[in-house]
Amino acid sequence: MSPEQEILWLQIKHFELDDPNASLSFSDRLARENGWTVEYSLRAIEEYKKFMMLICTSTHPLTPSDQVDQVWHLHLLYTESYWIDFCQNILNRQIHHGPTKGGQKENAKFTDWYQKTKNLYQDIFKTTPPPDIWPSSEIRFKKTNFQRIDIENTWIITKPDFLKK
Amino acid sequence: MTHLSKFTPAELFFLLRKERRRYLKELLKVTFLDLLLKQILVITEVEKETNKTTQVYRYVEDGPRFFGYRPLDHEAIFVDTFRKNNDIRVIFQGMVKIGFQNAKSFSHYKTTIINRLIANGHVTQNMFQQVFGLYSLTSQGLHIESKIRTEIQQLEKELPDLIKSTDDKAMEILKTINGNVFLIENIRMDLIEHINKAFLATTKEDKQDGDYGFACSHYYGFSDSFDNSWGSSDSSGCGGGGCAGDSGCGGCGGD
Repeated sequence: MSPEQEILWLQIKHFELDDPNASLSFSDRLARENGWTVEYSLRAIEEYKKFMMLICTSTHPLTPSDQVDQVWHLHLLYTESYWIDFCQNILNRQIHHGPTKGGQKENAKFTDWYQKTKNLYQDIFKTTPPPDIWPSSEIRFKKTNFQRIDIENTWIITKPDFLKK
Repeated sequence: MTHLSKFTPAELFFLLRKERRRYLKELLKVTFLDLLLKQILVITEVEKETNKTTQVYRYVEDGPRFFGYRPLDHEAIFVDTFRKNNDIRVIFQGMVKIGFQNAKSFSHYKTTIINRLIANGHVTQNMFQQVFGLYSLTSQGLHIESKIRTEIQQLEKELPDLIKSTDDKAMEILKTINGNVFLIENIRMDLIEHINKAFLATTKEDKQDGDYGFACSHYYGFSDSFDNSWGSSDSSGCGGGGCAGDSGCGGCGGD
């Protein structure tokens, strides 16, 4: 990292998403909505910050892991925190979120960008991305079908392995 | 204090058979405090400007004695986060929740502590006791228990006077017993204040940014946090039906 990049990284790293006075903080909500532990949520937030740092240093588009993407989605809901406090005041640029348009071509494009993201991560942070938050491309882009479920009124039973796609 | 310093406060609750009056939050509180006093973890306070007001954020980070320290299983619930990523700092309220989640339940956490006491030969459990979460002290355990009770009684007699006379010996004792200070009746807060001063004096060179250490105010703060850690958390900034549309993205590009 250049000295300028190190300064920027410190600012991003010290940016706080949690309000200490909120009864349901950002990390609580992230944990609840994804069925994660608080510890995993905090680690995912740390990786999200690293991803944002990579976007600021990269000359090509990047793709996050699904876990990092979930942090990004939630941060986008906190519009003032995301656009004013983070993008405007810390990053000094607008970072837009672009969902896939679907199809094979898009899938190949995002798979390539995902690999480039992980390579850049290693170059910048001099460490390998943690595999439990940055899984392989096969896992990252395998077919998924998510729905919002109210677990107050629903039981969720995991399918046996032989029925999983 | 040869015996007292060999055990953590959570272990001593069981060795001294005081745990029946304790809840999970009490065990977590003293374990966390012990880690702070040992400087495996530290608390840092940072003031931040938010919406034209200044807010104090309290973080937990790895401390000057974190590296090389091998946490016991019941300490790992707080320490493991920093072993996975030693570059991370965790907002204090988050740390409390992590402690509760990793401990799982009182009986699970108790088993973790008891297992070490069994491995060290201080405690024994037959099958019936295992089922009901009971245990007995071995002859070695009974011997240690008696020694520790004597040490605590001695401390309760001697320490208040040593502290008043600001004797260096008091500091040495306090640094040795760390979180076990909570087992000493009546003078707990005085002791903690002194430990705090002693530790701050010894860690001045290690300070970088922010003011870290441990103060009574921190104790009161975190005590409340442990008590209220899983209070109601149903409020939401977005009412039902307030958010329309979802991306369902298979990959997201940032430019």
